[in-house]
Amino acid sequence: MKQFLELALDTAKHEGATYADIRIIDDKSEDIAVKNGKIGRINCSNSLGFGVRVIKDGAWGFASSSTLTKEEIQRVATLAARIAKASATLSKKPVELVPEPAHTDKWTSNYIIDPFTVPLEEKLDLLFKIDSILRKDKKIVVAEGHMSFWREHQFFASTDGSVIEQTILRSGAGYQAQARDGSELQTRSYPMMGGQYMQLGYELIPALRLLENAERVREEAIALLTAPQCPEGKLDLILEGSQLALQIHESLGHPSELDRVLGMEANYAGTSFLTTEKLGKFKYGSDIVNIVADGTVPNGLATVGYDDDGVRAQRWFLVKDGIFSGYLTNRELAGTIGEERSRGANRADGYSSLPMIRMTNISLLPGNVPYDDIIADTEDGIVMATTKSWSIDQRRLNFQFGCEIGYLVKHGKITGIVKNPTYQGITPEFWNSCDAIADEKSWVLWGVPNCGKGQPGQRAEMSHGASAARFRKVTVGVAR
Amino acid sequence: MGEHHKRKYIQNLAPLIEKIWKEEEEKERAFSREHIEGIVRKVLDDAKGDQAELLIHGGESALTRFANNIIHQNVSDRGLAISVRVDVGKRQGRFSTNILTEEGLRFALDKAYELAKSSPENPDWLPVLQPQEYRELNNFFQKTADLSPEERAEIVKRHIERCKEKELSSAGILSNDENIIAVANTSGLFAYHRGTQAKFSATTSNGNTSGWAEDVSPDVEKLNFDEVSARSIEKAILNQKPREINAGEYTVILEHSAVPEIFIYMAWMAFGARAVIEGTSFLRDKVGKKVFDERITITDDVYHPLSLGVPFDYEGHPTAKANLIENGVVKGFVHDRLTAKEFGTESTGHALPQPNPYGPIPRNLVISAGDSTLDEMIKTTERGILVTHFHYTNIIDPMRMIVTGMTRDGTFLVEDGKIAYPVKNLRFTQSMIDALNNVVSISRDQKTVSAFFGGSMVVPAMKINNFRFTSTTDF
Repeated sequence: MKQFLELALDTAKHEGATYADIRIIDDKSEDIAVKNGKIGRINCSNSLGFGVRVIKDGAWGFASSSTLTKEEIQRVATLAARIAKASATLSKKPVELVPEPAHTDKWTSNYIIDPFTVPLEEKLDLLFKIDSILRKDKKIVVAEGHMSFWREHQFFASTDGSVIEQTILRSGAGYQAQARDGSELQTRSYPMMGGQYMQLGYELIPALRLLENAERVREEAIALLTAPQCPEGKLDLILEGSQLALQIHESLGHPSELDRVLGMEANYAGTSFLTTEKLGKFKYGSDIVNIVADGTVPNGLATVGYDDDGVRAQRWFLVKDGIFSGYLTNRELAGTIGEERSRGANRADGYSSLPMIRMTNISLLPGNVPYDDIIADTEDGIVMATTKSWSIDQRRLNFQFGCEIGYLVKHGKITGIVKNPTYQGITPEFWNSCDAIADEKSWVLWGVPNCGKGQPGQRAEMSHGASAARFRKVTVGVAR
Repeated sequence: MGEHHKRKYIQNLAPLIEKIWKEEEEKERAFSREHIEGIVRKVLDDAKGDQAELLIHGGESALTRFANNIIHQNVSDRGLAISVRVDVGKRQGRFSTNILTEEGLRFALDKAYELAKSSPENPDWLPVLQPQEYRELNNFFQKTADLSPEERAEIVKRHIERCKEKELSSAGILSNDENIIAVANTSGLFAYHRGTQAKFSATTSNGNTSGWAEDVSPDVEKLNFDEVSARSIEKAILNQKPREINAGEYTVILEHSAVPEIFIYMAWMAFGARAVIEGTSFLRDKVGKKVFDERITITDDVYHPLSLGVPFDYEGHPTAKANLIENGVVKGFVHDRLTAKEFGTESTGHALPQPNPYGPIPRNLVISAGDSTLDEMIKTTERGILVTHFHYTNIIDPMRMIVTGMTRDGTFLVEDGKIAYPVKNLRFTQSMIDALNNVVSISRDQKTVSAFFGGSMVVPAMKINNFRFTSTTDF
């Protein structure tokens, strides 16, 4: 492997690169699904490839290939340099990377049971058992359960002297039941929309208590068929953890990506309202809102030893006591806001993608109120649980989310469920209306395995820790 | 340049040109029908089990990305991957790999066979398809495949120079892709398609707000760079100091690029026969019934001159033109072989790799043209909103097809038949069934455009009454 790494860097330097790195990645994955009593899919795969990134004439070039031979490495490294030269014909000032010490290290994520050693029969057996519980009532027209496991094994080397080997194992599972009666269709999912994913091995699967929750999920889906519509108006809104995780993702995670702030994503994902003059000053949320970015948190989907710039993972505040306090950065852009070191948030989707600023794990720190006390303290409100739809403008201000189920709260008690709950708001107004955050007992690290960004499109994984929280007088019931 | 320098320059250049030619020849060989067929034969000959099906896909893709008037990202990738399905009786296993060495392919075959042996029988199992005839569909253009990083940079520079002249800043992409797809099986079926696609997209900003335009074509020589450049600049200039207007119901004029969001969730959730069988499609009991305005006709037609696609599906079945909605009336759905069997009909050739939980989906929707123009739509509007395109749409209720999303990069109030002024972006929350019953007019011209989350289709511009905007934003 070492000879491949050296060959890429030597070739790039020979072609005039002032900086180069190579990532060689071999992946392994297993993805199985059972739908309505039948195999939905059994897809296993492996892949191998490499990507070479260079700075030449002060500009970036990147090329990749799935053929790992010496000749191909030379072709790809040469092509990356040629592409960089073409980039340089339309540039303003040379790309400058903030310093990072050279690292020689090996890092592996923690797990107990290698999921690839667990027999397929055992996994299918669990999914079929869940399926039969979900479909015990004929009103359930679609029952679908799935499990996914993937391992990424990456070698990174750069002309700055780093040589890093990392192995990351991620696992996930979940299911959903769709109930129909006439033209009414309702869905319940568990543990969250699309399933729960963590940086763990097969030990995650029993810990999710999938089987134990299947009956409840089925009954809730059926109950929603006859539930009243979510009321329209302004209500106190209590978001349960997995929905709050998505709220954090969309309304703080993306707008704090410095490349978006600087206009580099303007043509597709958009820009950001968190412009640089707001750093350290802007009242993003109420005083009790504290949100950290953390590439080191155990079991987070984005937890790494080092990012794809070769920068060691870190933990820092994005929002401290309600004030916007930090950006997600990389070595290229950290200097533009006067920071001397990257935060280590540059990651690529596999070998064939250019690393770009991606969310690491971003979590709302727990408050000090038990969840039940928040309910008891709510006079006229609604709890919304489990994401169903999500949409936000390109500066991340106007958002509108839909959830699978709403629970009305009157005089401190849950009084019944409502269907099609939606809520809408403007990001800083919403976070400034947060007046209660549940304590650590209901805090969970929720996984987002499929965050999209970039052109060409890239997928990234990250987690968001959250307990439930309350927001005062929010517009609800938009989708009637 | 003197003669001596010229000779020296050519001497120095010659090895580079030779090297590029050699690389092009190597790529040409790797992506050729003969080479792909060679891999397929070898793998199928070596396959254990009772039957096997292969899917090969990949190619070469390159993309130059610009923002703030500079090229900031510039990438290229080349590769092929193979997905092997092996059946043992009615048990099926699938393994995918991009390691196309003898060892890598052997490993994939062995794993697929092992997975099949560990799987329960599939009650929906079907024998692999017999060899088929395919209609010719030429969307491969050598010039698109060969567009170099230097040529991409030149085109982008041309656009940026225009932006600089107007003191504007632009972000966007210029991409060229060469895509290979092949399906083969142990019954002797072999389907191969090689296509290209080029795309130019620009978001041009005046500092606070922006204008956007995009064009896509299999043939880079037909891509209208100058028109995209001019349109994004024109919109950026028009979209200065947008005013806030109240949310509410408005007549909307949707430019072509805004129209796919009306149809994309129907494509994914309603037009496929699996959703009909499961009862989750809002069209499940509507065949023969009128559901939309009579001017709405929807087909899935990969052979339409503006479609970008492949003439067969992932089972190797030829893709037929599917009539979905005709004059507002539901005519049918897209099928794979399994849903066709359940319906007692023929597959339309819209399968995904089997088995899969999704069923067939349309991939080349064509919305029929009308008799109007965008200009006429504006001229005949007393008060309405002109939408350039939409951002981040999502489905809220699949049975009522309620979709939400934001306007983006140029939203304008139309008054008394003229564009009055730009307005701040608005969020819509709208039943698309209702929208397609409130159609005022449809344009004569159609364009190939993509929805926000992907999926290209051929669409006209549309004017629709009572479109429901539910909230506003700050820009």
